[in-house]
Amino acid sequence: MTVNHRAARQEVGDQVANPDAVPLRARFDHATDPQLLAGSFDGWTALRGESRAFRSDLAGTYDLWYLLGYDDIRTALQDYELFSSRSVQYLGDSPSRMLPEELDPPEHAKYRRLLNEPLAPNAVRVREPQIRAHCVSLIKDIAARGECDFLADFAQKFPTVVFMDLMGLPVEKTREFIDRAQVVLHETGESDPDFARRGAAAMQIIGDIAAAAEAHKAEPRDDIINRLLTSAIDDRPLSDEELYQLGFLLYLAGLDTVANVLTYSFGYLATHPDLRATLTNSPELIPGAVEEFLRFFSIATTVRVVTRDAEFAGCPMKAGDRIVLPTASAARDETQFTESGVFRPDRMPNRHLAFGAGPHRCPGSHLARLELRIALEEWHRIIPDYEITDDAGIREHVGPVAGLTALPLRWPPAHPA
Amino acid sequence: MRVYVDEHVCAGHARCNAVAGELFELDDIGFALPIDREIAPAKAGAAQMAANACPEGAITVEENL
Repeated sequence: MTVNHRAARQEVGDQVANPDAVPLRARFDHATDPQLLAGSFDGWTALRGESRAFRSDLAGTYDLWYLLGYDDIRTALQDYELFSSRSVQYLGDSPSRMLPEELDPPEHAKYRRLLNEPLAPNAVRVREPQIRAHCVSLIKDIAARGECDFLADFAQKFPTVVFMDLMGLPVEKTREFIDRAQVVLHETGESDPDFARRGAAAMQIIGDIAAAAEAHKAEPRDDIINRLLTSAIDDRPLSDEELYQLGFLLYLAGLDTVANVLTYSFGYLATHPDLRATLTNSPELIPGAVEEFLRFFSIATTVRVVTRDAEFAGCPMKAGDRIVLPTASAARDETQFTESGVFRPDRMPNRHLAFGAGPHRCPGSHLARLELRIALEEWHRIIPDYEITDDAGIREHVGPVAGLTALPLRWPPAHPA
Repeated sequence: MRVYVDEHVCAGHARCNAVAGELFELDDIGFALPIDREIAPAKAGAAQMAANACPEGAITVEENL
């Protein structure tokens, strides 16, 4: 790729290229960049080492500004007036507006509050016994086999089952739900150029939610769909469209994210037996380790729309441009995290941005932390020693969320279910 | 020592409560209760750890003037 300093915007009257100007990386796309795909966390660190930010001309009709530093990313997420969430796609717009993700304050709060209550720390905590039971059941199914693809057999299943239970979706359809989410989240502009496959998968997901909503009207249960059905916005019930859109976002948000952090984390644990032994023997260290796994493997890259011409992070931005915020880059920023490339389960302070910042801070963060802690606790109680069978086939993908394509593990089969 | 939680900056990460639950309580949806009060110097360490844990920078711990 070309780093073209001279192509950066020049101020009026400035006849000479400013050597400190933001570099252009021609047609840069974080979903397909070979350096990121070869190791995304190190890849962002390499990019950050070259410049504070860079521009991509991939979108054509507007500039994309990649901000790489912790402070810039956090400030951008907090400044919702300058950086609007009206689209969180870096190319084009969502087929239908994601609620509440693609709203700004003050309208954002009206929808956001519908999610805050069922995902609040106390609400999540009371579900711990069911969540732990789901986890143990899944691990026991796997344990006697002595091997698994951790991603497909556990990391995708566990948060999916928990989430479908929370949402009142039919748990027996878990595999279908996972597959449809994969299409929506992982097809790219190259594999699905006219959005046909992603659009179709999205419609199927909305159909699932609609069917569950109908079933709830007939037979109400205590879950998020029920709360959405009985909620009010501006003194009126949610429209069907609003309910489906909220459900769609929750669906995607809850499925891939925890699965990917789990897979990266267990991939790391599989190759670091000392850390694994420490966490197995001292489970009180697990909450701190969860924070460090969240930092070390911050997977989300989000986007905002620039609302007015402004200089930010040294970038001459124009209204309509978009900024790309890779939390993976913030997570390894040495100005915030000393020896950022070192994994320390007791790292303090650890104010990572895995869950973002500002009004759109991930509402599922408390549930995510609980799931990660329970997975680390229960897996090592049953399967304390494991290794990667063969890493040759493992690939990484990058996009709105980063992840691995597989994690084949094996362990001594002397662990009876 | 004065501890101040800015409710306009708090985004509900709940890290303050995780680190120093006796000093930082949460409301029903996990946002820090807005406080602006004195604490004993002995608690300053815990308060500062909580301030350092907040990704938003919503907590200030300072000496009284």
